[in-house]
Formats: sequence, C-alpha cells, structure tokens
Amino acid sequence: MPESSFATRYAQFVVKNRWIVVILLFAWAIVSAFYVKDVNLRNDPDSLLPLTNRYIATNLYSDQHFGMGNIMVWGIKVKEGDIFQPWFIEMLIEMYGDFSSLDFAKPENFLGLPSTKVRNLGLSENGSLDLSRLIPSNGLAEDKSSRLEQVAFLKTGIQRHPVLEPLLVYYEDQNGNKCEVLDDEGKFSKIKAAHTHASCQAKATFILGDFENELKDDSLAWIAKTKSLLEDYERRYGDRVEFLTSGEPYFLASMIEEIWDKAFLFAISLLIILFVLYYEFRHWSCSVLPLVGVGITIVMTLGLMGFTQFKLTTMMILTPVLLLAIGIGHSMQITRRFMQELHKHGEAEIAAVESIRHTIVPAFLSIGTDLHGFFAISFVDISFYKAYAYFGIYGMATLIFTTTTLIPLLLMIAPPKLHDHEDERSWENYVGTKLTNLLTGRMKWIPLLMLTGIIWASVHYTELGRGISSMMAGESGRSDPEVARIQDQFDIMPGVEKGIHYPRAAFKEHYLLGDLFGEGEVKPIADLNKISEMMPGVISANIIIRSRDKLLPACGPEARNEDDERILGPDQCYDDLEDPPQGIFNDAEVVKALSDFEDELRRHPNIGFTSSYVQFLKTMNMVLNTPLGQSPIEHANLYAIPSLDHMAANRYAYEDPDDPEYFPSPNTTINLYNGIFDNNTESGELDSFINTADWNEGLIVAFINTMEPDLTHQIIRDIQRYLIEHRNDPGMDKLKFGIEAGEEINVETGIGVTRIIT
Amino acid sequence: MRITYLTLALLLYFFVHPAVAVSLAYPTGTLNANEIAEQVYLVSHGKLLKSSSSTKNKKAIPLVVTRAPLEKRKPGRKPTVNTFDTYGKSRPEDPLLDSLQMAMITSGKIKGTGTLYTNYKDPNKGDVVSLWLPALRKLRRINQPAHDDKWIGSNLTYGELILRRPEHEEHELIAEAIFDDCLLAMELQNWEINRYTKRLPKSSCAHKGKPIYKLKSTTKFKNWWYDYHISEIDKETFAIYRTVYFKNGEKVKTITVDWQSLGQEDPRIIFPHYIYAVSHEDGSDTMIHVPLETITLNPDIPDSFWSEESLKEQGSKY
Repeated sequence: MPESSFATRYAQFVVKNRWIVVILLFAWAIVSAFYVKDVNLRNDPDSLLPLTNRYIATNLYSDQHFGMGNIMVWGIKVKEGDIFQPWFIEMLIEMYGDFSSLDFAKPENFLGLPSTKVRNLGLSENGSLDLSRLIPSNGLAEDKSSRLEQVAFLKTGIQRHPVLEPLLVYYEDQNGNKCEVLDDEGKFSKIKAAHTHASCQAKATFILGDFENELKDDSLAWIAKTKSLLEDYERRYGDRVEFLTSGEPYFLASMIEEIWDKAFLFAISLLIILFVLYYEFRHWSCSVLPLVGVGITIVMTLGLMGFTQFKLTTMMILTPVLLLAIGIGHSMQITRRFMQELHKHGEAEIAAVESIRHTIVPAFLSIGTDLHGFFAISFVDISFYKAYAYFGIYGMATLIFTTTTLIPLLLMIAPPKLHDHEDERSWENYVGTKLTNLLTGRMKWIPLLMLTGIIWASVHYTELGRGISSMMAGESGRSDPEVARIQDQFDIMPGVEKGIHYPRAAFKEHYLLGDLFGEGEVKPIADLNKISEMMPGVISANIIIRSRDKLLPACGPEARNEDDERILGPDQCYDDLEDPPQGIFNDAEVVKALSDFEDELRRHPNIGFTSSYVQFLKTMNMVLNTPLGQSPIEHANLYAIPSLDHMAANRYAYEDPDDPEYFPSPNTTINLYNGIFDNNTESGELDSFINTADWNEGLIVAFINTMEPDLTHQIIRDIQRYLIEHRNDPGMDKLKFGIEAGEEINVETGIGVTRIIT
Repeated sequence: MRITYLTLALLLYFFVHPAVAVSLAYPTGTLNANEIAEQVYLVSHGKLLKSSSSTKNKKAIPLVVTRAPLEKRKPGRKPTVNTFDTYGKSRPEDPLLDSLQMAMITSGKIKGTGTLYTNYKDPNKGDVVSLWLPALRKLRRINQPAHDDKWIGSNLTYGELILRRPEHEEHELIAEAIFDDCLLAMELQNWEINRYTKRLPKSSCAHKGKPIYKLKSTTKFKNWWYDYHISEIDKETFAIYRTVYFKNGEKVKTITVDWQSLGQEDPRIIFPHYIYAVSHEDGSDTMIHVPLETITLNPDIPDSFWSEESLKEQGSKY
C-alpha cells in the first residue's frame, strides 16, 4: 500500500493526534452515558407501526377516548367449595380495592363482583324493583347470619344477571369441566343457565382492570408492585385459592422484567470473551481494551436511544448484543494485528500505524456492507425495524472509531509486554491444518452431506412441496380452500407460521434453565392459558363506532335574545334541553343495527363474549318493561332494543291499557334510557363504552377466545366482511368503524397533542 | 349496570324528614354537639314547614348542574343540566306517612319523567320511589337508595341529601368562631355556559362575619367513604354554610350552601339558594340552584296530589 494512501494518512493522523482522538471518544462516551437511563424500553405494541397507520391511529383513538387499551385480568379460583363463601367474598372485596388502587389504574373501568355497577335486577319483598349493589359498598356485615344472607343475595343476584354472570363467574362440573351459561350463539339462555346453576359449582371469579397508557413508561416498578401485592394474597390465601394473572400490561412488563432478570447472562458472556481474549493474547491489556472499545460503542448507542426517546421494544435488546458480537470480532482482529506488528517492529507507535493502516479499509468495507442491510430495513414502516436500523447504523459506524482506531491507540499508550509467541499459536496451526485436510481430502463429502441434510429438513418443515404444488394447481385446484388460500396469499411455505402469536413470540412454554433446576413453568404463559380456558375470551378487540355525519354545534348564549326567545334555530345549533337529542346513540335504528352486529359477533366461534353500551340499553329495557311485581329475569325476552318489530312481538310488555293503539316510539324510548343513564351513572362509568359528551361515538369490546394468528386474522376478516355486507342497512348506513384512511385526527403522544393524517 | 333513582327532588333536602321526636321550638340555653346536630337536621330537612313547591317562574327555574372530573372536562363536553319542578308535603294526613315529595323533570331527554318519594314514619319500613316514565307510559316502583348511592349522577350522595340522620354519626363541638370566608360556587368556562347556566349565582360572601359552631361528625359506618366531616354552622339559623369531608386525613369533598331567609318569624326557616359540592380527588362538581322566585310556601294543594295517579297525570303534561 503506498504511503500516500488514505489508510496510511488516516493511520498517521490518528496516531499523531492520539490524545485528542482518545479524549474525544471518551468524552463522547461519557456524554452518551448520561442518557442511557432515559432509554424508553416500553415494549408497546402501539408503537410498532407509525402513528399514521390507520390501525395504530384507531388503537390510539380508542385508548385515548374510551380507555380499555391496557386491560388486566385476575382470575381467583377457590380450591374447595364455591366462591359464595363469606371469607372468599371478603378477600375479593379487599383485592378489588387493592388492585383498583394500583398506580395508573382507572378505577371507573374496573369490573368485578364488588364493582358499584354490579347491581341486583330483582324485586324486593314489597314488589318494588330492587337495584341495590350485590355487595354492600362497605363490605360484609360482622355477624354471621347477616354475612350469610348478604352472600346468598350476591349469589342470587349474579345468577340472574344476563350480562355480567357469563363474564365474571366460572362454573365447573364435578369432573372439572367448564359449564357454560351462554348458549351456542353466545346469548343468555335461561334453560342453560338454570342447568349450570343446578349441576355445576361457581369455582372462580375475575377482576378486570384498565390502566393508563403511562404505565408503559414505568412498567418495571408497576409490575413489581403488582406481583408483590399478589404474593401477599398467595401467602395469606394460597392454601385455599389459586390466583391467576394475565393482561397486556402484565405480559409486556413481564418481558422487560425477564430481560433484567437475565441481564447477568450478558455479564457472563463478557467474562467469557475476556477469558478467550486473555487465552489468545496472554496480556490483560489485550483482553480488556477490546471490551472497552466495544463497550464504548454500546454506551454511545444506548445513549442515543435515550437522547432520542425512541419508543423501543424488547427486540432492541438485540442491538447491544449484536454490537458486542460484531465489535468483538473487529477488536480481536485489530488487537491481533497490533500484537503481530509489535512483535515484528518492536515499537508500539509503528505497530499502531501498521495495524490501523492494514485493517481500516477491510473494517470500513465490512461495516459498510453491514450498514447496507440496516439501511434497507429502515424503509420498513415498522417502528422496531426502524429503531433496529437507525441505532444499528449508528452503533456499527462508531465501531470504526472505537475498535479499529481506539484499540491500537490505547495499546500504544499502554503497550503490553512482548512474549515469544505473538504469531500463530500451535492450536491455530493444528485447526487450520485439519480443516484444510478435511476440505481437500476424501472426507470433503461430510460437510456437503450435512448441508444437504439441513436443506432437506428446511424443505420438509416449511412444507415447500405443498406450497409449490398448490401454486401449480392453477384454477382447477381452487376448489380446495387451502389451495385457493395459498395461491391468493402466495404462501409457498405453508408450514411457516404467519402472523404474530404474541404469547408464543414473547415467551417459550418453559424456561430452559428452569427445567434444569425444577421450576420451568413460565407463569405468564401458564396463567394466560388457564384464564383463556376459564373466561369467554382473554384477548380483547375494540371496535370503534363513529358517525358519518357531524353534529350541530351546541347553542351558546347568542342563540337567544334578551327575552330568552330563540334566534338561532335547531338547524343552526343544538339546545340539549329543548331539541331532539342528536348523536347516533340516540337513534333507535342505529342501536338496533349495532345490537344485530353484536349478536353476529357473539355467534362467531372465536368470539366468546362482547360488551358494549347496547347491552346497557337492552338491560334497561328489560328492567323497565317487565310487568309490575314480576322479576325482570323472568322476561329475558325483553332483553332487546325496543324496535317496533320487537314491541309488536312482545305486545304484553309495551301496550298501554288505556290506549290499545299506542306503542312507544323507539327513538323516544332510547332517548329516555340514555337520559336515565346520563343522570344516574357516576362520572366515568359509561365513558369506557360511549362518549357521553356527544353520544355520537362508542365502542364494542369483543373478547377473543383464541390466540392462533390464523384464527385471529380470520376474525378480523369476518368482521370486515359483515361490515361491508351490511354497510347500507338501516342504521349501519349512518356509521363508520375505526379511523379511515385519509382522516385527520388529534392524538396525544406523550410530548403533546399531534395532528396526524392516516 | 346501574340505575339509581330519578328523584330530582331538591326539596327533599329541606322539606322531607323521617320521623324524629324532637321539639320544633327554637332552642334556648347552651347547646351540646348532639343538640346542634339535631337542629341542623331539622332545618336542612324542612321539618319546620308544612308544605312547599318550587316551580318555574318566568325566567327563574330550579336546576342542577353537574360537571365531569377535570381530566375529562374539555370543550365540547357541556355540563349536564336538569331543570325541574318539585312539590313537597311535610305533614301528610295519612298517619303512617311522614312526608311526600313529587318532582318532575321539565327539560332534556327525560323531560316529563316524574318521581314520587313516599317516606314512612316507621324507620324500619323502607321508603318507596315511584317513577313515571313518559316514553313508556309506565309507572315503576324502586326501593330506597343506599346512603352512598350518587344522586342523579352528581357527586352528592343520597345519604348527604336525604338519608343520613344525626344518630348515624358521633358529634363533637370543636370550636365557636366567626365565619370568615366566601362560599365556593361553580365557575363555568365560556364554552360551558348555556341559557340556564348563565344565571347560576356567583360565589356568595354574604355570610362573612356570622358567628358559627364548628362541629366534627364522625361516621359510625365501617369502611365508609369518609371518616369524618367538619361543618360550619350558623349559631342563629343552624344553617350549614360549609362541610368538609375527610378520609385518612385528606380532604375528599367540600360542600357549601348559600342559605337564605324566607322572611319567616322563625330564623331557621330558610332555603338553600345554591348548593355547591366539589370532589377534591378528581375535581368533579355539582351545583344546585333554587331561585327564590320559584318557591311557594304552604301552597293550597290537596294530599291527593301526591299520588301515583297524579304523578302520571302531571308527567303527561310535559
């Protein structure tokens, strides 16, 4: 290489200005180190795609307008008897209070038997409607007979609640099999419920909790507190009760916790590298300085992550590991070269110049080609790909300075003592010779056979043959739905799992090290599986319902003159005390269409349960139209939206004896129910299902009973198909679902409100 | 699912009263804490009047305004406003009854909805709420609400307004002093104001300088939403100007009442011109306003008016 080459000039420059270079690099590392603590490892699936993605925008909109985006579920299963025992109910009340007081909790969105919204739907002794709480707000009484009476009241009350019993109570028969309360179409069935109540025991109940999005900023402290709380209950009641925990916040926080729990493995790998380096070079400086170089790169990269406040997932833990892996290779090469040059020339400065001069170009080319890969994935609109690319590019680029440049400079400043074996060691010669013999001798088929075996296994397990034959089957093969699917999706490797099975992607079923030492069960997975079997569904899908039409602005004082006469008519502004109510949820046709939609959702084999404001309306209709002196649950047929068809079919409940021709107006009736709810629920009680500010948007929460990506994807497709097929039906024609493409919406991003176009 | 009671009966607060064997005569001599509490109860529950009504009178109209917690309060979210008429009977002819109260909603989605609250002398017999639902043309009866049930979506409870009696708490006279403050009142943002709320009264300073008792009342209920409250009570009229509730040493709610005279000989016959309650935890608040012009004392209304038939008839008029 000529003296005037770039490599030589670079090497001479950095060696000449070595103190400046070293000090600058260390200063850069120290500044970066101050930002490491700010790394935003929130593990938030909402940050996987850009805000402008309509699904992410819909998710954020749902979370910010209704909540229900960070749902936790605690399953509490009694080991002996049923849940209707005073001690169990007292424990449940205490747990409910404790969990709804956790940091970031939204108590108004919590649901469990002790909730204020869990009320009786029965009659008192004098025949009046008894709508009291199923569990007194201040807990059970102190004397035994009153407590037993209160628990019996709770049991009777929840067993005649068509909405909450299926969600909150889990029944088992004598053989431990689950007993259903809902029929095959997901509807409350008096006969089925009666059979379950008679032949099965209520073995478990659930507490559903909703948490603020800010939890993701402090998930480690939150999960520590949550676990500590649960451990306390396990200590006190573990002999009588099994506690199960699940939910997105818990699951995601568990992943971060798992990383911290296993951080010692990173330290062990550093020690192994240290040992290998020492074995190779027999000098502590040659062992430590490569790690210092790579460590500086890792600190710089983590510092940039903290400085930019990029929302990171646990996937990003790969970045420092990757930098360590690649960086240590470069470090070893430069260190080895330095030692060879030092052995050759006997002078540290010459060794530094020569080692940098010989390695900078290969290092530059090697790192440069790696950067191309990162650069390519930076164009994928998935946030953690971008983060991986941006920080990968940055980290890899710093390796040029922290390894290929810095390490020889440090070795020059603190040169190791020379031994007589700085060139190839005997084992290196031995391995090299054997490998050469293998590849050039008769045994050369062994590696080829091994490679062939790997290719065969890959083809077998990816089912490449089935994929290709399906693609080749053409139109004639499309009668087989699977062939049609493979063709439509160009799925030539059908054996490869598509989609994201979150739990499986996050955790293995068993801990490897745990299995070796006897405790291999992964609790987040084990609990999730158990709760999935017990509840109607443990994954929630939120469907946002919005109006196609805008509302009139509210009338201000300018709408009337000094004599209080209206000067702005009902076509210009809306007076909520005088004009017919506006907002889609005041339109009986719309709520009937939503009720039909929800019924369809419940019929889906993979949707175990749904919840929405429509159910409040249906319950209200049943309670208020049940003939005087009779129990509402005896008239479960009135659990419906009061459309004209429904009223005609259930005339006995709606007719006016004094006016046989009269039928209530569906719209006026719905308005009345809305008014009653508006005036009789505590602030926040309805806000998780409906926007009570304008009654013009709401939410259906569907509980999905599978985690298989194919099936969850199919649910989405089935929902979309229903919405398309029924988009022009009465009521549905006034609605839109989620955030549409091209919409402008405001979202809160943690640094303020941002206006985005989807 | 929760349905409470549509008793938009503000006057329950000062006209309805469960049976209590306490003299109605103006007290003399030095009063102890329990005696002060009994007087407050008589005054605030209208024991001193036979009957009354509060109905719209030209632009003056009784109303209740409730706002969401501060976090959820933003432009576009108007306060919930209900206007209403009420008719109270404190001494019914039926010897079994202690009081009767009828209330009709006069605007909004539940316009025409009415309630009849029947209160029995026998404390063991639960009160009954009859509900007229105009859209359904149906009457429904609902049991007495619980003490801690919220009153029509406000941050006031039925216990505070109607059900709590002096014996439910332990009272302690902690000081005699001079009231030296203006009363809190709802302060609306421009976008929250409508034709009704623009007439809400401002903070009243009329009671500054009046001598008061400071009474500490500790609840006897276990695990209750408050531990105790401190009330500032006018020494002459026994009007509570301000009540502050505490739980675990923290303020949880403050209620101020602008009691005003009805011009009667007995200074204790007063009415709450406004009641304002604010929850300190989330900032949600409620204001009830009863203009003096809407009140009629001892109106000439027969007892038969307070019946379910009459409730249905009245409700059909709106």
